Amino acid sequence: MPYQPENPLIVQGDRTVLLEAANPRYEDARDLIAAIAELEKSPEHIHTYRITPLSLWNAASAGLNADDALAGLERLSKFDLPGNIVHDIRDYMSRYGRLKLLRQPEHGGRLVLQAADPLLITEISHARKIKPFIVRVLDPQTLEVNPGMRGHLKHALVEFGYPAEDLAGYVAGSPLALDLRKATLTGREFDLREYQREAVDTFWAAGGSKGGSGVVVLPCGAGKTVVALGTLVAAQTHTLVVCFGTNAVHQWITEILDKTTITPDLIGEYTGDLKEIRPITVTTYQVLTYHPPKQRRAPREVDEHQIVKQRPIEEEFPHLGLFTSRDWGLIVYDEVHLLPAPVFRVTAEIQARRRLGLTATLVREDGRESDVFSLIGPKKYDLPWKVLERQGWIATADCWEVRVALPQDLRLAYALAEDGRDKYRIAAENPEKLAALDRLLAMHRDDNILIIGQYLDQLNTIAERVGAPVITGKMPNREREKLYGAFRNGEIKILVVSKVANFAIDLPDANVAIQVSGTFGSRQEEAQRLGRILRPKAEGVLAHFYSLVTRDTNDQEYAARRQLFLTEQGYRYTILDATDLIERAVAAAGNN
Amino acid sequence: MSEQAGERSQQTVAQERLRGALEQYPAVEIGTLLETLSPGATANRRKTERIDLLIRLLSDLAAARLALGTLSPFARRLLRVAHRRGRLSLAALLLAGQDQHHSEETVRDELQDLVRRGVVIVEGNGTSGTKVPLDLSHPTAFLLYLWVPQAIGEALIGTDDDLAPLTPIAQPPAEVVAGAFALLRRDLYLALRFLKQTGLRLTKVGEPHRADIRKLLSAMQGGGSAPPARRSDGAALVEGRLEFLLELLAATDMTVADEQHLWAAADVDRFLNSPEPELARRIFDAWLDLRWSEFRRLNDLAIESWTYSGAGDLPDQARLGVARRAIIECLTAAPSGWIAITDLSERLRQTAPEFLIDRVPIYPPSYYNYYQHYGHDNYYSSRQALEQIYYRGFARADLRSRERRLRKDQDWADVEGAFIAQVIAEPLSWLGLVDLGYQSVKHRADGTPPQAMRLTELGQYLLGKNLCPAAAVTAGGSLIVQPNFEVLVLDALAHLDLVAQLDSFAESQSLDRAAIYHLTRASVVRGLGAGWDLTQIIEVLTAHSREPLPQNVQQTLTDWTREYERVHLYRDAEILEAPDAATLDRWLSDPALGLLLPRRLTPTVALVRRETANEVASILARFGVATKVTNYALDQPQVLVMPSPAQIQIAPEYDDPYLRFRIERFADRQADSEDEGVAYTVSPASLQRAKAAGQSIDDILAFLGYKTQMGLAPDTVLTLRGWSGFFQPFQYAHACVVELPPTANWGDIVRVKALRPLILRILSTNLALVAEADWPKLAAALQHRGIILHEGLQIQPTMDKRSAAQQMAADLGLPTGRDLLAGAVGRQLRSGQREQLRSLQGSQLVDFISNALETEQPLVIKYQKPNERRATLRTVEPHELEVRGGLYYLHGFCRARQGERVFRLSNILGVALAAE
Repeated sequence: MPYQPENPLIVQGDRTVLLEAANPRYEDARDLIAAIAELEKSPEHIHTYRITPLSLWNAASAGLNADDALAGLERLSKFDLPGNIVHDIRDYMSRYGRLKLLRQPEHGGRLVLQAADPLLITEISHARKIKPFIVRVLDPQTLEVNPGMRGHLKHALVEFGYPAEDLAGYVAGSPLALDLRKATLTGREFDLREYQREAVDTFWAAGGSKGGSGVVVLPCGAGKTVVALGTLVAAQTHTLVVCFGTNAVHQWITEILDKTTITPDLIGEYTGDLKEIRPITVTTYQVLTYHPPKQRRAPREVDEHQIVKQRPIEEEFPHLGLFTSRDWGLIVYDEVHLLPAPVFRVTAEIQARRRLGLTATLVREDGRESDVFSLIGPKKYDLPWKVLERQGWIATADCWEVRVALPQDLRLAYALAEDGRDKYRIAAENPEKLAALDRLLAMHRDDNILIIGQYLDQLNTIAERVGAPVITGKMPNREREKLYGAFRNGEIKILVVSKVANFAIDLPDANVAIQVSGTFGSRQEEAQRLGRILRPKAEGVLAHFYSLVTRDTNDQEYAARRQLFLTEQGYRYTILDATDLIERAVAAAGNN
Repeated sequence: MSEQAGERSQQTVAQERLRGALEQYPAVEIGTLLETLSPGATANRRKTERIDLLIRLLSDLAAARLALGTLSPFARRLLRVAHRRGRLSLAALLLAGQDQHHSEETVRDELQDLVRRGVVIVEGNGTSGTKVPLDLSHPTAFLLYLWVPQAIGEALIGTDDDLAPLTPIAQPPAEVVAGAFALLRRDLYLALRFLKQTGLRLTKVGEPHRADIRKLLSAMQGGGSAPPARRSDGAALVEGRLEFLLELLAATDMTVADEQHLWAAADVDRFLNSPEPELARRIFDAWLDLRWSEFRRLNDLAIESWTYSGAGDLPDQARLGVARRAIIECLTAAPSGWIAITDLSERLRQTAPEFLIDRVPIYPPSYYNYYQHYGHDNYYSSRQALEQIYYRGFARADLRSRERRLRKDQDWADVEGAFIAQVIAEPLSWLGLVDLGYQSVKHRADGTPPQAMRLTELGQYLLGKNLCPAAAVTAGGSLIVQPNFEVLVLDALAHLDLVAQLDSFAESQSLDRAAIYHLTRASVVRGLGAGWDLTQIIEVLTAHSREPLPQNVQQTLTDWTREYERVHLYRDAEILEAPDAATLDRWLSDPALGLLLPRRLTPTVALVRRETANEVASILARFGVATKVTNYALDQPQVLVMPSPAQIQIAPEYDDPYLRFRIERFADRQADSEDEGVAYTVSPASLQRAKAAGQSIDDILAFLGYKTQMGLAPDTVLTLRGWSGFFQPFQYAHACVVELPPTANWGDIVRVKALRPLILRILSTNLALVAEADWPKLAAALQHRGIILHEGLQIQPTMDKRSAAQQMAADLGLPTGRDLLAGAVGRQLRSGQREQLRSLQGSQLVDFISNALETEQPLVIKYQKPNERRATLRTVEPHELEVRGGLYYLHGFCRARQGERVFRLSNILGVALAAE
């Protein structure tokens, strides 16, 4: 096939797929490629996807077949497809679903693994890592397997290269009647957005065994919580929600109360402070993986052969019993990419319960994507950040890096500091940043501003200087909530926050974030902080994200690393000198 | 005029050829032939006359046309085949003639008929004395060659034969592999990039190292992080292709080999960036005579080492060239569209049966004689063996015994056919000339040869079937710079020039359909180091870009460049130090000098570039300033004088701060007078200080040994070691020494049990030590045994064996000649005039050194080994002179090296006695 420049895709031999964002056939190509590949980065012009065995299995589980995928790729590619990619797509996609995990009600509901190919069954029954889960061979195409080991088996099969399609169904869980409100408690009109509805429907699959477990991938601010609420309503059952941190627990409870007909007495908070178990219980990974200090011992390597021999996990982590303490019909895992290992282990044993994973990214720092795939379930729904932005569901953001010089006296201190950490602290707390901050505040007099930083001294100084309250980890939750509330109401225009603001605080009206210092170069953090100002805005309001960076120090290096992340998400970055700000501030003042 | 002459002589040659052949005909056959061509012409003629007549008849073009007209198209085809290569063996013609309508028998009959009509001439193998049988069914007929007289050949022009044109296949193949010249171009590019940067190590026989081949392969797989090749791709295929690429590069002079490496040639960039048609033409032409064998890549054939006929029928390089051209010719004649490869193979069999392998091998004439005399082979008696019916030198790879052998008359498809398929499937496809068609995906994956082929646009151009293919025009730029510092070249293969530019300042991630690069600080700095500057980099990134350069990228590039320019490492730079800042101010303000001092480093120091150092010195000389040059890189030996262990002096001309610094680490500055140089004192305290700072006494001694003019005297070494606390405390005790007269020995005494414990240690046959406390006991015991004791033993110092003569001279207080010499040399050395070492050779040198040995005097030698660039001055305490293999060697303790060394006398350039 000759070169077809008008097509948007390039499939490379190393399994990356490049997609031109400006191409008129972008949407078309994106729908196809998102189904069979994992988005790696989406900078402004060309997005990079990667085809992996897991991404192909996700595609197969979503019902796509290899021929359609290949035909689509061929139709949309600039060049012919590399031979090995064609081979891989056929090979991997054909593997999914060759093994089926079924329940046979006619035989007392025993769990069986079935394949049309007797050879495959033979191969599996001789695989060392799979053998322990097999009870007996029923016939050349069927194996009876241990129902209690369903999760471990599925995981072993993924490792083996033949993921099983789990059609064994779910237990219904204790029933619970609930519905979504038409209008929220705060009086706003409420309904699922179209993509949220789609995500719920795809996940729920009309209650059949094809759906009911899997992961929904949505960017921060796209309303993952709402997807969970939709699923809750579809499931009508007792539900356990696991999320990251106590703040998030409160937010979940508020959301559930605000948007569903559930009454407060049906919702329980299971955290360090409170241990309520109610039909809907919200807890944290931190509590679940709480490890009693007297039993502390060297952490065990969680390894698949050991799983079977390990002593009951509840002994080690007492609160993990929560998973089995009630007849849950649905378990929601928020921030699935942060799911800790012990939770995987217990999840492996509750495969008969429906499981919904929520995340902004499937990429895990620890590389345990295959655990998520086999234990929570395949990716069910995915919508890139930029698409939501284009549809107006999340705000459009402008990112700026403002460079500030280091004063002469600090330059010497900086030069003398031996440790990178000390150097960073000097650079990050550069007092010149305050002047730049003043100018930025002058430019955004009417906006709702979050000032985010790493060092408490610095934050306190800033708070004093601009006369705004400061929220840190030390502040009790209730006081924090009060301040957040005041910010939401518009009583406070500027809020100075520490790292606590990285996660899960809902401040929809914040539209300017000024980052005065960050944790070295954490990409995750940058995304979270930007996420704070991406909640949908009133028409025409632009979100601004500023990073104040000290020039020619490692602060600038770390900023470059964080910048890389945002540019890979498709944000444009502009680098400014603090002196440029003066002109802009003057211009802004003139406009006002 | 000359044309006519040429034509005539051509005619004569043709007639002579005819005569030669006809003279081999049996007389009867000549008669019959003449009778056929011209009835009644045989009457009353002698044989020579008949031959003359025949030659005339056979050379007549009009008659030839007439004769051709009466022949069948099939016969004309046979004639055409025979005519193409000048002459053809019967075996080959039989093979060419066979098709679905003609069996071997009918072809033979047809040929027999043509021979009888004189349209085909029969020729023997050239051995004289035997007549050629014209009977083509004779058992030895396979040894005959047939050819067509020139007139017939000319008459053939413009006539038809019964070969139908090749037809495209009806059903296009299910699986198509497009010929991809671009891919070849990419791989050539990657290979050359590797050769340019790393080079390929060669073994002694000039083959690339296996390990390097693997490195090259991984460098070529997508340019970095590509997954390993699929299993079915097979390592053999990948490596085979690489071999092919390397041969292509060698054939196009794009690689240069020195003794150990294969490198890319200098003008590879121009080669790679030449327009596609031009490049393809060059590569295609190189392939036609490429030193590479498609035949050896036939997996179904096993090459055997053929013993008594050389390589057997294996085609050599020249033959492969012929065969490739034959295939190309056949492809040129083929229509466009998908052609079955079996059809191509058949067509070649019918038109050029011996394009690859001769049916009748060339044997030495004796072989034929034997055969023709006795009618059987001298090795094998079977007819098959006689007719050499088997291909020699290779066989089927997978079968045993008899079936392994391939028959020349039956297995065309498995040998020549397979070869044709191979040429099409590999080189022609790799070169982008043909698309390959397979029956199914599975067939292709299995490695089954392709079923059909079709010329690509490029192929049609290269075979002269159509004009140059239009270059694909990319809309807009092909380069994109993303805000995350990623640089992509979309249609990378068409923009290798751009890719090559990016190579120099960006990190290559992969090179496939698109090339992906990352701009990193390291890569940009590398580019800057290679001579790029910011404007050039930005120029490349914007000129080819379809989008504006992202602001953050441009900003960061500027930052990086700025930082790069901030830090300079000056290699080979020199600095100029002025006595004070005011002087340097003056120098810098001088118009001529100021230009030569690019940077002031400190108030009194300025940077000078090495190439202008002399100029600076000459300008300063004009100011009346003499510059003293200190070269820190040169570690000057013998610049110190150590008159005693406690004193170090730096000769003024060698004084430099670094030397001072090194000395000050273990010695104390004593006095500083400009005339006599700097002096240092070494003391136990200063050495202890050095030791505490981590400097070992051995380091100090090595340094001093190298730096002092005479090397270190033994006393100095001992003293310094002692001061530094190097030695453990020495233990001692008082004792008596007893000497026995020559008539006694200690054995007699120690055998006496009572005396044994009284002897502390026996030193030699006649000396022993006795502890002071034990002496009265021993004395009493000896006296008791009647032995007389005399006090006052004089022990000669064994360490000082000065000769009696010298001893006498010394006693008399007279200076010897040697002493005078030594004193003179010593003085000279002290004054630093080392040039006046005596350069002695041969016996003079041996004598000089022998004298020094006798007097135990240290020598100063100027010593240079053949492999050293500079001579060194050594102070040597001579121990022994040795003759080994006709050469003299001096063994001695070298003070500079602080160890025993051996010096070859022929390497000693100058010698003198050292004064202690």
